[in-house]
Formats: sequence, structure tokens, C-alpha cells
Amino acid sequence: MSNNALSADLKLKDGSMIYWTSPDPSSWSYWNKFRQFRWNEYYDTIRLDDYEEGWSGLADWLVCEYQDSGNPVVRVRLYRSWTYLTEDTIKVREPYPFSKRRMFFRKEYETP
Amino acid sequence: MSPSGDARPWYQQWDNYFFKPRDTTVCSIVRIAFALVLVPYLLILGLDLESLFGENGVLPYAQSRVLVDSDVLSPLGWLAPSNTALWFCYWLFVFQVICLLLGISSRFQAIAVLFWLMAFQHRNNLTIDGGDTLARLTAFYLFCMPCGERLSIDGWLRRRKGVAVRLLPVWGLRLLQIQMILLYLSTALLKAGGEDWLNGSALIYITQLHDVFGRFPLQSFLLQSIPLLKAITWGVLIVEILIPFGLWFWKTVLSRSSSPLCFTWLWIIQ
Repeated sequence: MSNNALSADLKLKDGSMIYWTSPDPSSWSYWNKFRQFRWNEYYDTIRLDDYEEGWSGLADWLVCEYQDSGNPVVRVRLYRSWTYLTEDTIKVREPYPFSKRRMFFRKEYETP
Repeated sequence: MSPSGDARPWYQQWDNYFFKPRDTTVCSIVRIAFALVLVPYLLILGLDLESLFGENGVLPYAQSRVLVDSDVLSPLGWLAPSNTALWFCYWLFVFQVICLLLGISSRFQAIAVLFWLMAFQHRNNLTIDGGDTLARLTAFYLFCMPCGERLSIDGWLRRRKGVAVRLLPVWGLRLLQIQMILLYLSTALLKAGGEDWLNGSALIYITQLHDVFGRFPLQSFLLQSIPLLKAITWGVLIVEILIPFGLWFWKTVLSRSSSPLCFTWLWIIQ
């Protein structure tokens, strides 16, 4: 069993980078844990290899979220991070930083 | 069907259990409880509707067909992939849940709610869990039971016309009762077959999951004491094994009539 997160880096046309990380539920208020329940399910599922057909949609959605017509996104890379849970980790209430991280998807975008 | 010492043949007991006309108040309570649970469900859905279900969201319709099942249709896909159509479906869903809550054409609203639940869940199955499956089942069983006879606007209007409250067969409620029993039984059996539940370590891991745990305030000593977590793990297993028997054998609950109320409560906490 593990705690997981998604992250991404978005490369813009001018070479600058935007870094995105899926929200950290451990820092949320009780209301946010309730309100963000669907997103939690989504992030927890989409990271799995069984759902690779959905990775492109996540990348496209991130591009839409950070789109700037003057400096468009040219590349998105998605990463998954995780930490395995053991009886020893029970005293550590903060799950970050994750012990393992791996890129699992990359998509290039044509720019005018 | 309960072991109440009834001397009649089994098929008569069976007939009595499913089809004897009874007071339908519990069916109405299940209807109201279900609709009240759906209100926050819809609130959460509405806050992220376009991001989770729109064509410009995280899962466009064409991609969702590959992930869900190419043979499974979502009514949201039959419509033009526009946000206007999506919002129209959403507000129709909200309207029908309110009608279900108030008891206006309750059984029709129940099957309509099932239709919308399936529409949204089949549109993006990456955001659902077992609770959503249970919601679909409950909507179906509500359709099968006389859930609008009592505590409803329809019932109130009938009473104004001088129609007396009817006793009706509640076989739909019985099916829901059996479903809940099977649900808890299968949950308990699955847990009992897992090493982490048997050795008591399951909750040690579960309480560390940052995405599912901590929706309610809990003292840290509860979450960091391994002996206590092992005791709670075994306690959960024992309670889940006992619940199906408690729901089936009426002597273990306060009375025969309170049994449906108990599983209504168990459905809500589930």
C-alpha cells in the first residue's frame, strides 16, 4: 500500500517551465476532503497503467488550464510519485517528499 | 423467512416475507434518506462538472469509451458534446432528485435517478467508487418498492381526496435488505481472506493513506498506537461478520419492524 501523487512539467514555447502537482489531501480542511473527493478518486486511478488511454486527456486538460496564446505549451510530461507504507512509517504524519518518482507519459504539442 | 418459529410451509413464509401487504413507511424513509444523500453528491458533481465530464475536461468522450467499455453507452455521449447540454442534464438530474425527496411520482423519479447516475458514472468512471455502485443499486430497488405512498406530496394529495393509506407488498425493500446482507457478508469474507486483516495490520496502513483518511477529527493516539489499531482492525472484521446475521435474524435487533430501519442506517453509513 502506498501514498501517491501526480505531477507534471509543462514546457512553454519560450523554454520556460510550469510545474504542477496534484493537490496534497493531507493538508486539506475537512470540507476540502469532502469537496475534492471526486478529484482524489480521479488522481488515484489515472496514475495506473490500466488507464493509460486517459493520460492524453489529462495532459490536454493541463494545457488548457495553463494556456497562454502568446506563449503556448509545447510539451507536457506526467510523473507519478509514491511512498510505500509500513508499520515504521506510522509515526511520520507528513507523506512528502515521496521516496519514488517516475515519468510515465510525454506529449508534444504543435505550435503555430 | 425469519426464524420466528412460524410453522407454515416455507413457500408460504416466503410469500409472506416478500408479498404480504405491509405499512410502507420504511420504504418512504429509505427514499428520503437516499435523496438526502444525493444532494451533497450532486453538489460535488456540479462544482466540477465541466472539468470532469465536459469535452474540454480531463476525459473527452472518445477516450472515456476506451476506458469504460466501448459497448457501454452514456446518454451524455448521445447529446452533442456541449457544455450547455451537460448542464441541462445536470439540472434535470437535480430536479428529479428533489422530486424524489418530496415524493412527486416517486417511482418514476427513482428510475430516472438511476438513469442519470449511470449516465454520469459511465461518462467518467475514473471518479467513482463502491459508494456509487451502491447508489445505483438503491435507485433500482427504490423503483421496485412503494416508496411514495407515505411521507410524500403524492400521498398527501391522495389523502386530501379521501383515499386511505394503503398497505402494499414491500418486496423491493426485501431485495434491498438482501442486497445489504450480501454486501456486508462479501465484504467480511473478502477481508477475512486477506492477510492484513487477519494479522491486524490493515488499519495500520489505511490510517496512513492521506487521500482517504482524516475526514473527521481523530486523536493522534488512535492513529499511532499499533496495538490499538490491531484491536480496531479485528473489531471491524468481527462487526462486519456479525452485521449480516443481525440484519437477517430478527431476534438480534430490537424488533422485526426495526430491522429495515437498521439497514437504512447501515446503507447511509456505507
